Amino acid sequence: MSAMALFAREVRLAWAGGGGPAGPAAFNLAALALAPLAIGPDAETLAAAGPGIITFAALLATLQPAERIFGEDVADGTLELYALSGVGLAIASLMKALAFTLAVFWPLPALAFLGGLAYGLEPVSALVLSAGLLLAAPGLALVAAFAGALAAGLKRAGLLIALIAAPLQVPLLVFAAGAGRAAMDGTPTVLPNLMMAAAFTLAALVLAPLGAAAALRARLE
Amino acid sequence: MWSYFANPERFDRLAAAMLPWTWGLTVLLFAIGLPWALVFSPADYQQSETVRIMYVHVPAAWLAMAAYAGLGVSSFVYFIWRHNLADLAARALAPAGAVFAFLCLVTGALWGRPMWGAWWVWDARLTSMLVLFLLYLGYMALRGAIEDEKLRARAGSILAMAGLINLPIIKFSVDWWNTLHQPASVIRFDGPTIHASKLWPLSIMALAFTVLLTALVLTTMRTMIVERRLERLERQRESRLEAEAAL
Amino acid sequence: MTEWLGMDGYAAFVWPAYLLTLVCVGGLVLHAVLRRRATAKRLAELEQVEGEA
Repeated sequence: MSAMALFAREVRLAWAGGGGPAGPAAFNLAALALAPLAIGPDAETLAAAGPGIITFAALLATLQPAERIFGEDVADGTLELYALSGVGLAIASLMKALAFTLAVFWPLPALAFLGGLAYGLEPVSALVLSAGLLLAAPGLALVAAFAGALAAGLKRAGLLIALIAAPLQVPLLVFAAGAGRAAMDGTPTVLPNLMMAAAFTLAALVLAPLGAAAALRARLE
Repeated sequence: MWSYFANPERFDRLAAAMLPWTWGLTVLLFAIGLPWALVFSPADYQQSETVRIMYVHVPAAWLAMAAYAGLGVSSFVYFIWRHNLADLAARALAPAGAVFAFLCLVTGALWGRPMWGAWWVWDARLTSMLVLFLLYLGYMALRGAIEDEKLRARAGSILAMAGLINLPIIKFSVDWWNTLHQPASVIRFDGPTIHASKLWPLSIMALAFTVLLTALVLTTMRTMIVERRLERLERQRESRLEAEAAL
Repeated sequence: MTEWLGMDGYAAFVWPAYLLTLVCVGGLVLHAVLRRRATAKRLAELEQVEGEA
């Protein structure tokens, strides 16, 4: 199986299996809907907290299905197939995480835009926030996939994944939300924030698959 | 070098010879450092007596980071060369590092309240220490959740190495965010700016904490070696008893 | 002495910090020592039982 074929297969599986993008999107939406009920309806406060809440809700949404990324493969023996397929576990992990980003997490930037509007951000700021999440989402997914590979098949894997992934996702959270905040405040740090978010996604693109592959290989021995 | 010390018995002998000196040095350093920090060092002209919190807060922060660096390095050694002693070191370092991170956070709050007027300020270094604390918790939770001993060690080492990549972010986050916290003033490229009357007790306290951590880790590693032997013996005994019962 | 204990009005912050340090460090040391003792005891017991067998 070539890497591309693997990618296509994983996109199909991620799209169809376990509710596809519906679960994280609904989770994200629920978080966005509940936060104002906790914070209060004051428009200024909501706008100030908006970029942060929206990015944080997206981060939580990437953790929510992370158990699925490798959990089933470990359980049903697909993992052995990947290891023997000649693609290599690292490339397989990369393809799985990217397929997951494309098939399951695609609503997150869109929701960030809508959420930005609902929280009272200017359309341009909401767009910047959305762009920040677009750049950060693959990185968030890759870190979640790494945590998922470590915790696959364990009891209470979901809780473990959240605890493992959250600290590693901090830079992405900071810069994706930072871009939105900078756009809102009119500070000229939008571009640096976006570039840093992209940089950490690129770093995750290289490192997370290696880590995930190492974690999966440890399981096969 | 690694393989020389990777022999558990050789390590155990070396550690046994070192430990009395290490514990002794710990006691000596605290005997000098504590009175110096609490009595003889001057109060700060701005921070008054609260500056004394620094003598436990800063060493705790250093050790929380150093222990994570040690955790990452021993995890790397374990991951590449599979030396069990490196895994023992990682296992011994993690809870100690978590305790120091916790200590740093609480003493930071106790220092922050009179100085900033708030128990907690979301500044770069306190926040990164909180993240470091979470890294420790995640590491220990992952190890606790895996039953297979080999897999536990492997997964733990991978996570610790990933976390180590996060440590530079913690170190340099001072530059990323810019808030109320005073910039790191002890280690700078142009030399320390903190006054000598405070730098001396701070250095001695930091050294005391470091030697203490060394003694603690060596002691725990020795205990773990015995525990391993115990488990082996108990397994052997059980299988022997079963065999005898079958006869 | 009283003046020293008073810490210029900051006693409520300085002393808890040192007390907590004592608790944390003492706890770590105590845990390590007790664990070592318990392990040594278990080993001695096992060796005795094995010696009888």
